[in-house]
Amino acid sequence: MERVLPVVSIIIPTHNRCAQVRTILSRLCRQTYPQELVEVLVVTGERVDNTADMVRGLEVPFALQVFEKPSDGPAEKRNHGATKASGEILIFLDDDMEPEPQFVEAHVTAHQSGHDRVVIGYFPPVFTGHVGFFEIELRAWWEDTFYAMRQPGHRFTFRDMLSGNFSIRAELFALVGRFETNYPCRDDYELGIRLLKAGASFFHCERAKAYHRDMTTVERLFRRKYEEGRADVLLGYQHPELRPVLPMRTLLDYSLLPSRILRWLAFHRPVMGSAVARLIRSNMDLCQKLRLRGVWQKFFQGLQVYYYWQGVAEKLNTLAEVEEFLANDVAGDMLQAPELVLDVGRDLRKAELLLDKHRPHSICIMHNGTVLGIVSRQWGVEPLRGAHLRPLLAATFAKPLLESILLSPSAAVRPETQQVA
Amino acid sequence: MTTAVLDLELEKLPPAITGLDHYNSALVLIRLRGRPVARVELPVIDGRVNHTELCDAIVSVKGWSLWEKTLRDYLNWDEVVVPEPPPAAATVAVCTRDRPEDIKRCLEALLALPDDGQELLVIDNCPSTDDTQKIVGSYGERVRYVREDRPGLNVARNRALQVARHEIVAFIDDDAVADFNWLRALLRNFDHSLVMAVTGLTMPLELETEAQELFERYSTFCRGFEWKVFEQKRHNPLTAGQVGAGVNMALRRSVLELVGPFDEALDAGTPTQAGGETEMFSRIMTAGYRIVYEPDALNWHRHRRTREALRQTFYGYGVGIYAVWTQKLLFEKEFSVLLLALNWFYLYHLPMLLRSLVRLPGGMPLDLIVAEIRGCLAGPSAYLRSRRQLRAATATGS
Repeated sequence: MERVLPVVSIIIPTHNRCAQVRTILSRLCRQTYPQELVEVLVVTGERVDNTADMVRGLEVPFALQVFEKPSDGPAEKRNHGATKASGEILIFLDDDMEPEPQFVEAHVTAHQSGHDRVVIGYFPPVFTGHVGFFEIELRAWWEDTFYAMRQPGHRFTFRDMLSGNFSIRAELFALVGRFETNYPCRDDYELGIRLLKAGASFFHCERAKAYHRDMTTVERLFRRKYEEGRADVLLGYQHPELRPVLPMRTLLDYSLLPSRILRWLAFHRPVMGSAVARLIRSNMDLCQKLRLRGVWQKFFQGLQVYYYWQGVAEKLNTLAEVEEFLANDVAGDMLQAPELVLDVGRDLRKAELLLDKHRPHSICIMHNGTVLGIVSRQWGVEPLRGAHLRPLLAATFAKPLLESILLSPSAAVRPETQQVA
Repeated sequence: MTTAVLDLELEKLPPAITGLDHYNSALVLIRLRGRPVARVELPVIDGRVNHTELCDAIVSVKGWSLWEKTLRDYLNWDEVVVPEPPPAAATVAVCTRDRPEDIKRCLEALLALPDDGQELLVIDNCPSTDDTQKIVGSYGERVRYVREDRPGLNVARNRALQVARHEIVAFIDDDAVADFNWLRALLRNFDHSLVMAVTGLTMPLELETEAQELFERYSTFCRGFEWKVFEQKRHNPLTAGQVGAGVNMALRRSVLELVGPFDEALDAGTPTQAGGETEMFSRIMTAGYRIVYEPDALNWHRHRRTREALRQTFYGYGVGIYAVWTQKLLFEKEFSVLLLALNWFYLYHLPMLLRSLVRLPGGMPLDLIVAEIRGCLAGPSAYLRSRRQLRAATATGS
């Protein structure tokens, strides 16, 4: 039976980027997916340039609408686009993306293989200007993130919810309640949390590729870190069970002296802290000129931490408040018994099938009767699948598993083939 | 003093190893289901290697490689976990100059590799006879022959990158022999977009002369059995020698646009004699890309047999490293090179020199240290001379 191809709505929130929007639209004219099944909704902001007029004046083979929402942020624009969209599948695309010809087709195909899927596309950064230390860091972060998602054993978390290039069924998007609009950033992570709770499955599709013309500067990144600090506090209020996995937890526990000094400055002497931060920032360019990579790195990391704490400090005024905030999580689940017990000694394939069937959040792993360890319940992470098992065994449980294999009498029997070595 | 080079499979260790009558010691490569996991050195007594000693040496091997591979093998990792699709076809390039016996041995091994659609390419650099051409011709369509008349190993490498038909170009020296899984092991590491080069493990093909043993002891190509990723965030790009060597490496063709071609003023065939690939690795890292060291990508190198050739090699390394540092200092403003050079002398050459002068056992022979230091001193001027020659040659259009 020939499956009918769905109508796709591509939602592009934009602000003051007329040329980039023109580029995206021209790329969307060259898609392999049937154009009559595509509609594009551009949602612009305040009238700074003539994006809206430019869009209205374009001749394109697909349905194209433009909406002007002057006082809305990106989250509101995306939500507005979603309410106006008529397609079965929504693709959200940021205005600095340049989609490849198979982009739409790849997103649609990815949805056909699973029902409640959230498909994250691949959007490697490209830089127009000089590639300095900062661009190298940025590129490495993006490529490492996508590389991790490509691995079959990757366990998706809410942090994999990247809103620049993702697709979701319109139904599911409406069901979980769309984007929250009161977040300065991390609204995508917050959506990711709700999607995971609703049982959606995340999927990364490398073929759904768009080049990301990343124009972030160091200053913008530091501003972003500040917003992230503020947003993490909001996230912690809305989803208290996630407080233990917020960056501020790790930063509080494991910080070197320079970072601790910057943190103290952020909370107790913000004016001096800002001055110190500006001084360090101006020295970063000198480091780059002198090729002092190690020093540049330290400054870069340190300042990211500083601005993050500055954001946190805006909402939680003292470190004591931060401690209290982080202490009030939902720890009860840690004490619950694991949902499933698996013995990987007999038949690894069978264990994988059990995981795929039950999708537990916590398991106890045994090998031929010996307990290797427990994977305890974690929040904001997808439940376990069969594909997660071997990477877990090779990493977290490597040592106990090796001991068990080498020391047990039936060690010679490999679980897959039941061959005696 | 001669050392037998042995290649043993861990799960099928022979109960007795005999027939090594004219050897004093044995260098044994240990594999686990074909994958290299460790190397051990053992004495040979009356032509035999003691089995218990062999097992003890294996068990005491430092490093996680053996255990990690055991575990992955148990978990059937390669069949189940590695993501699809398999890597695309590659070009294998051998740059050669007047070494007909070596090139023949090299090509025989390359033709025995599993056929994944790879292209075999020989770049014949400035040949004085047509022996190489005839040998390559005897293989017909299976091996492609390209002649590059401008002298220089890096010139030949650049030519290989330009004429290669595939995106990944794997290089092997003409005096090296590829192991069965060499190419596949190199290629599978290009799945990360930031990886621009991959290097592999090189073991000695034979250790029949003292010169070869000395080379292996003091200038081995072996970088261990642990898989590693090199990037400028964690490793100093100026000490890129730790990454690997040109005898066993693969690069993306796009390195020509993204990083630039090999520096034609460097390496064999020019006054600088060495350092050609080190400089490229250094530039790859400086540009923010990564280099993977893959110990499964195994090949075997026939070291130089005579002491004179060995001295020349050490001299060449000295020249090469200092030539690369000269380039970095003068043309890329890497001032920390001065500190590096000082450190290297102070922490490496000077102690070695003193050890040798005082005749303490276990040190590098004096003639080799002196050769390398002389090379270092000649390095900077050799590089500048080489650049001048290159410019002159380009100007006259030759």
